[in-house]
Amino acid sequence: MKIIPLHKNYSKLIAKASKGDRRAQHQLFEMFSPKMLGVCRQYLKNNDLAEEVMLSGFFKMLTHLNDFKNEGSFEGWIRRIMVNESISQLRKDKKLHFVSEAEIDNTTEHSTFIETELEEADIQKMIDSLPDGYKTVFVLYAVEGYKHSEIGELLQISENTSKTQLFKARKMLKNMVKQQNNLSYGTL
Amino acid sequence: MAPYKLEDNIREKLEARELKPSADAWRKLEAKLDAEQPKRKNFFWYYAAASFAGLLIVASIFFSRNAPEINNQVVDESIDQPKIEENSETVPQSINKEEIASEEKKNDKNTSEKQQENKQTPRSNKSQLLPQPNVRKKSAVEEKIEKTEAIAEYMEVKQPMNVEKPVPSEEDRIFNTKVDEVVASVKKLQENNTKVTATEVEALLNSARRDIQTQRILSSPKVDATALLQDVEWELEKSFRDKVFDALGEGFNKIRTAVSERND
Repeated sequence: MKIIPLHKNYSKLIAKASKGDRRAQHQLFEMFSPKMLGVCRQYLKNNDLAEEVMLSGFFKMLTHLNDFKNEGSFEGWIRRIMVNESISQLRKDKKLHFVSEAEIDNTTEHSTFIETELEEADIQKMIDSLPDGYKTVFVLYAVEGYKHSEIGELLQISENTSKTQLFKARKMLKNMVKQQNNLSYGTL
Repeated sequence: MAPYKLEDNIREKLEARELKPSADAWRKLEAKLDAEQPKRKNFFWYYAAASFAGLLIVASIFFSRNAPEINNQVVDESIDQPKIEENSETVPQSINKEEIASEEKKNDKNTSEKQQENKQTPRSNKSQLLPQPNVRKKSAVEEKIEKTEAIAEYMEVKQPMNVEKPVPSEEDRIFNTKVDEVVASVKKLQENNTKVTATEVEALLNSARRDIQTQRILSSPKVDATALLQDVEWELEKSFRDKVFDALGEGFNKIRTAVSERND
């Protein structure tokens, strides 16, 4: 609901930027770069690297603006570019190792409940502490809303591997929350 | 203390998160774009040029397909047929001429001679015709001279006083005589009226000129009015007037002396 009016407002800006209008491009950058840096940062621990990836994602976006059809949301389109860019960076750095593990039967949804809302910085810390494989699948699934089939295609892994990765990520996060809770309870 | 779903919490926080890029982030991106966009523009122009060339080719093919049809129509109706007819007519004619000529040469030398004569005769006629104007002009000149002589003789008889004056040419003589006549008449007018008006002088000059012309035309045995007029008129007009005015301009002294001599 938010995205559609935004996209409508951006259409003129996008049209200008696609013709190489540097001011329009700068405006788009100003609008989307903080959010997109946040997206990249989900996958990449290093801030500088995240920014680098974000910039290369923007570069691709601005140079392929003609490929953007006004069908979907513009933000969603940029976001996908950023996700792909981040993953290709991880792959380049050979951080994505998916060991094909034995099928885990217990992959049913189970939610981890927390007493107090976690702050942004805490969440980032937890995610950063996850192994790159777990983290990537978890972020793609839980934050970006990808399905296992899409994640499998994107990361060139089987759907099952995606599921096991997600399961392990959740488990680790749960433990982390528990640990935090224990720590906080201890301090209190 | 409502419990939060961890994943919802993570999603909400991460989706809404914004991280400010470093200050020089845009400059880096701009530099990259600057490096890239000229190339893209060039490529664009290459594509534009290529597509334009393609359009031209297509258009030329399209029009060249249409154009021959139109040309064919035009050719069928107007251009080709006359050309063919002309050619078919002219070529045989030339051949016939050649054949006739050759036949004539072969058959009769006399005919060819005749033809040659005929050919020559026009030439001779032409040659005769061409000199004729010259001859005529010459004759006209001669006639003039004759006329002037005659007039001079006549004038000499009439006015022996002018004989004393040296005469450079016969043409001049006739003019001089007339000039003298005019001057004399002017003198007479002066004696009578004391003042000579320009109109009177003009009238005298005109009459004198007419006299000269009429004398010339009448004196010649063959009157070729147009030739005479064309050859002489403008020349005569000028020279006669000039002489009269010169005579008048030199003053009445000469005239007085002449008159006094005559009186003596």
